[in-house]
Amino acid sequence: MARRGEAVKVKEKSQTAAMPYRLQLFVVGAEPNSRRARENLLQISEGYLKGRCAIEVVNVLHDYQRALDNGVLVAPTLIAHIGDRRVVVAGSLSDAEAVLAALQLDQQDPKP
Amino acid sequence: MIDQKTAKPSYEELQQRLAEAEEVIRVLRSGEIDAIIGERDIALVRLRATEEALRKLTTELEERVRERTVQLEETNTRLARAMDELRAAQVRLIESERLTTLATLAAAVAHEVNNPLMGVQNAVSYARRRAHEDEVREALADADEGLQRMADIVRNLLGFVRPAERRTVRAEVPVVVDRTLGFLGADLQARGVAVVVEMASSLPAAAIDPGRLQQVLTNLLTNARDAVAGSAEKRLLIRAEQADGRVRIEVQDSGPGVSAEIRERIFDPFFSTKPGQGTGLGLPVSRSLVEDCGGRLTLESGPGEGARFVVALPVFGEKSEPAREMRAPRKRILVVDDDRQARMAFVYALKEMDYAVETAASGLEAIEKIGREKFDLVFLDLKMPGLDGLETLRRLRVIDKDVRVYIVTAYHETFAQRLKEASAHGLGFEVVDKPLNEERIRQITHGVLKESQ
Repeated sequence: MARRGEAVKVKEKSQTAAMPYRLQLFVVGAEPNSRRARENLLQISEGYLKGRCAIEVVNVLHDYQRALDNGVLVAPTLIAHIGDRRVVVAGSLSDAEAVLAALQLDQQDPKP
Repeated sequence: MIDQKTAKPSYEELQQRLAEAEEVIRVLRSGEIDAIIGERDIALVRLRATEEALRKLTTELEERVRERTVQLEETNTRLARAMDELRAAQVRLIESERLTTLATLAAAVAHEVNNPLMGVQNAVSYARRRAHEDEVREALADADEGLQRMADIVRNLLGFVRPAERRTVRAEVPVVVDRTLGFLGADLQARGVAVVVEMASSLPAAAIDPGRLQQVLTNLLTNARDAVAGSAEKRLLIRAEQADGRVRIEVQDSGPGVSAEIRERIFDPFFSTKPGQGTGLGLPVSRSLVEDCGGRLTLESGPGEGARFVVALPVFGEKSEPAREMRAPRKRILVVDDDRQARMAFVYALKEMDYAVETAASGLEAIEKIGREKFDLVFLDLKMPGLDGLETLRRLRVIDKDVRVYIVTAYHETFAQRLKEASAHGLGFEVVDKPLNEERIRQITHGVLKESQ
């Protein structure tokens, strides 16, 4: 489970449910790809999803049951819940274009 | 997540699962992961992994793949029931794609473990040779044994793609073609693709398992279908005849054809022209299925015309001894050079001959290929960035002690001392000076491969 005080905040449950984008990032501590994934996701959400997304970072070293429950096979993995759709992007999220396309943010909502 | 709905999974759910499995495969290939998450434990993935971590990783992966298999089989059972509602042709199509994905997942996972494993095996065997204390040597011998076991597991997993048992049975080509089109027909029709079948009369049966032949044809036809997707004229031609004592099946499409650049790599595992769609294993797996029973799968068309893939299979019931001789696989040659032109020089020099020539652009790629398949002759460039020729050779010898190696160099003098040392260490190679003309390349190749027969 992500601990408070980390770069990414965990939103409260009630607030979380209301957000159009619920993003869960499964990482392994501060391993290199996980670190990159976290940074990349932060950048993408800052640029494209400000105020519209709830991000939760799950450290699988502390809570891998969550990973299992969500069918996560490798870390880092991003699971985006958009409405009732579920989109999975694995890896360090370095290919921003691909991530945006997966989240269907490539055309709409250009960077301000 | 999977069991949220105990009811049969819908077509959309299945699609979703396949997409997610493919995403995992993609990232395994890219190496952008830190961990693989198992049922009870997490295996961290690091190249500097210790032997213990590797052992764990391998076991873990094996378990995951097994679990996935069971899960997918369960899904399959439920799926079969659900699909009754859909049209029969559609059912069969999805089924065959699912099986391919399953095999692909296993192969991709095993493939990924293989490389770091080879690195560690290498390091251990190197350390073993240098160890002075008996105790250390014994410990390393133990480690080596464990690693060998792991390598065996990985090999078994890789074998998942095709059944270990080699069955040579008879396939009536028209029947198999018919059945394959039965599966794909509705889909082709829906996409406006016309299929023409030209079947020679009195075609002998081919010596291949009909199921395998169907898998190969399904693959070729699916590729052809995708190739014509953007063309005004969507036409596929399937032609079967007896030629040169073999059963020859051509699959030709009216698509844009295959550029020279792609031709070179089209049979490489994980190479795909359909990013995000293809697994990159269809053609290599098809080729190995065909070669397993003594046949050949080649791309014969040139650029400018549509693609034409040719499957040539031995005739069933031909006297088995000559058949065996005919089945002798083509000699395989690997050309390792960081310079593309240098590689192509070999490919052109040998392309008229009956050799299978593969290329690698770096030492690592070469090691990977050699770990995957057996070669008869390796041309190895000495001066390459990353692993140079001698380092590559050192690692290569751990995997294959016998393959003939020619080190190609323009810097014979500069490296004389190192070459001498390597030779003294029994690495087994010969040196040939650059530049090499085509004649010389052919001369060396013929000489070596004739000897080894």
